[in-house]
Parts: sequence; structure tokens; C-alpha cells
Amino acid sequence: MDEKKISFEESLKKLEEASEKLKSQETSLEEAIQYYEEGIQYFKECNEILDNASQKIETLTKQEA
Amino acid sequence: MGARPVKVSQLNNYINRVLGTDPILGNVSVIGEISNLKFHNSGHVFFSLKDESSKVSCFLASGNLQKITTPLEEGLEIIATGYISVYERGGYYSLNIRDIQANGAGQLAQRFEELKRKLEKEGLFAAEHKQELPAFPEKIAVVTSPTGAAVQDITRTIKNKNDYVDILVCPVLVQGPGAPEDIAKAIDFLNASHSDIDIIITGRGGGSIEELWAFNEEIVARSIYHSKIPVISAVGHETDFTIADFVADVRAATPTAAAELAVPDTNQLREYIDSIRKDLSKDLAGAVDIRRKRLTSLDPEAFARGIQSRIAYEQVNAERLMQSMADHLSHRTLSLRDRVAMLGKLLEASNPTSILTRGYSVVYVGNGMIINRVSGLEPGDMLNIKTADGEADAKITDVKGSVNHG
Repeated sequence: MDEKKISFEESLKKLEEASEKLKSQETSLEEAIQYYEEGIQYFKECNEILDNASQKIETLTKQEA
Repeated sequence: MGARPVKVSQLNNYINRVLGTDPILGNVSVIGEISNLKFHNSGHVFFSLKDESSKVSCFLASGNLQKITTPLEEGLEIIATGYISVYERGGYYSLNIRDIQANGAGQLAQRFEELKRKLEKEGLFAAEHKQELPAFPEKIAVVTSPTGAAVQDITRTIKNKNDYVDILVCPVLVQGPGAPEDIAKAIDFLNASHSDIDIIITGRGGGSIEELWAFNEEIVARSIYHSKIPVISAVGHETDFTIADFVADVRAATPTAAAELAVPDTNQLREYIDSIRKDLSKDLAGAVDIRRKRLTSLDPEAFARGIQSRIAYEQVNAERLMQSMADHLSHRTLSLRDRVAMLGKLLEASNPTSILTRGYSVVYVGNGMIINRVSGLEPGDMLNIKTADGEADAKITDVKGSVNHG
């Protein structure tokens, strides 16, 4: 669970980074393609997490607490 | 040597008169705690007011009860105002009450300030201790009453905004005896056995200061302080500040506001990552396009076209420069010519020969000197006279000096 959480925030951050780097003027064409592919990968990861959203609403029983 | 013995009824009657005419006892306010509270069938109320060491019987007539807003309950500290009356048949006195005020507010405000000062001094409210809320929580625990408005407000608000995060409701008492312990235990429990919880929201809907009081208890403050999971406090309305608000990592004005604060909008997140995806494609296309343009500019034909157009441009430029230089020169020559003509006219005006055309002549003596006086001239001297159109020789026949000539 914890791992997954890191992965959404991390994936989003990586996605933003890839996009930033791709925008940079100094990026070579090879790098640009690499950043694009990375970005798409992170986009897919983020999207997957959001698409698999299956919100649960539970109530603890008194005995548990 | 005492006075004459009196009957019991006479004594009680006398006491009644003494107490009944005392100005202080005729209108007195007494602070005390309610005990032995009895609502009589007649509608009258009987109870005792007590403090640590003493108590007094009280009577509240049903007519006066109607006017009193403070709900009477056992153990409540009140300020009762009325007069002392004596029940002659029983031989006791009681406080006949006209009005009752709860003494709770003052007492509670004082306890609030004392605890606030104490915990502040201990550093429980320190900004350094505040934890940041995670940007994308997976699971949120709500520590509140399972039947209150707060739990409804929180779950509804979260569900509207975020379809991802899980919600775990931890039912607790939020008012009355045992509530502070219940809340504190739930927060401790979540920390101990639900470490996957990202945020705890604890609070309740609006109420009186007494109803919100659990969130002003030290035990709640300490468990919030010790919570490794970030805690949002959400107690009452905007204007209600509790100790829990000061110690929580984030204070929300209301339970709804807490829910808003806790979770990101998942639809906005989806739009956001979609927009980045579009950017990626656009920027990659842009990067390719820039290179294509650069490549085109390196094409020899394009290069030659570039050179030719450059040459043409330079030619036009050179021609334009030359034209402007020629224009400049001719302008200067013209103005010089004007100046020469003007100077010529000026010279002409001061030419002595031009005077001769107006009828003047110049007379020279034999040695070629121009005559400007008669002294030195002798009859017989030869003269030469110059006019505009020629000259003539002449001889002096007589010399006449002026009168003053000396």
C-alpha cells in the first residue's frame, strides 16, 4: 500500500520532470525521444492508479478500537 | 440570666422575621453545585447547592422554572439568585430561587486558557512539529461520532472530490463522560495498528462550548501531538477554537473544510496528467520540427538561395547608400553656391568704383596720392581725375584754404 502511494506521487513527479526536460532547448533529439518515452510510461502508471480507483468506505467496530 | 423561655413556634417565627428583613438575605446570589435534584409532580423543583464543605436547600417554584434557560442537571455548577426563606413548621431555611445562570462558561474558559498556556509552553503547538499532509492520500481515518453530522459531511465531501481515497470511520463519543478518552484511544489505536492511514480527521459538528469540550481535554491534545499520522482537527464552526485545533497539524474550520483540505480532486488530476501527456507529444514534435528546419537551412541549394538573396540585398543597400551620399553632396554644393553669390553682392555694395557711377570722382596729385586736403597743394600742380568711365589731367590754378586752416 505504502509502495503504491509513493508510486503515484513519484510517478507524477517523474512525469512532470520528463515534460520539463523535453521542453528544454538544450535537449538533444535522442534525449527528447527518451524523455518522451519515459513520460508516456509515467503517464500510464499515473493513469492506471487513478483508473483502478475503487474507493472503500468502512466503519471500525467498537471492539476493534 | 437568659430571657424568658419561648415556644418553638415563637422561635421559628422570630427567626423568620429576622432573616426575612435582612437586606443581604433578601437578594443573594450563591455559587454551588446542584445535588439531590428533584422535580416534584407539582412542577416545583427541589435540590441542594453544595460546595466542598457545605450545602444549602433550594426551592425553585414552577413559575420561575419556566423563565430559566439553563438546563438543570446533577453536578452542574450554577449561580442561583433569590432570597432566604424560613419554613417555620420544619424549622429550616432554604434559598427561594428566582433565577439561575450556568457558571460553566467562566470556569471552562479559565480551564481552556490554563491548558493552552501549559501545552504551548511544552511546545505542543510548535510549528516545527507540524507534519505536512501527503499530496495524494490513499486512506483517511475519520475519528468522530458515527451518528453526527460531521461524518456525513466529511464522507460526502471526500466522495464528491476524490473517487480514489479509502475512508475508515472510527466511531467515538464526542461529548459527555468518556469522550476525551475515547477520542484519544482511537487516535493512538490508528497509529499503533493502522500505519497505512495517511491522514486522520478528528472533530465534530457545531455545539455549545460544553458539547465541544472533549476537544479541549489534555488527553486528546497529547494523543494528537504523538500521532505519527498527520491530524486535521475539524471541530464545530469557523469561530470555534479548541486545544485540538492548536495541536493538530492542520486546523480546518469545519468538518467539510477538513475533507476539502485532505484530498486532491481526482478529476482535476486526470485532466492534469492528460495535459502533460499532450504536452509531451507536442514538445517532441516541436523538437523534431526545430531540427528539420535546421536541416533545411543546411541544404546547399537553400544555402545558395540564401547567399543570392543576401547579395541582392547588399547591392540594394549599397545603391541606397551611394544615392544618399550623392544627394548629400549636391545639397552641400548648392548651399555653397548660394553663399558665394551672397558674399559677391555684399562686396559689390562696398566697391568704391560703384560710388563713381553715382557722380563722385577721385583726384590724385602728381605723385599718385589721393587728395583729401588742400594743404601742400600749390598753383600749377598737376592733377589726375578719375571718373567712372575714364580719367582726365588738370592743373591747379588757385588754392584756397578753409578759414580755420592753420
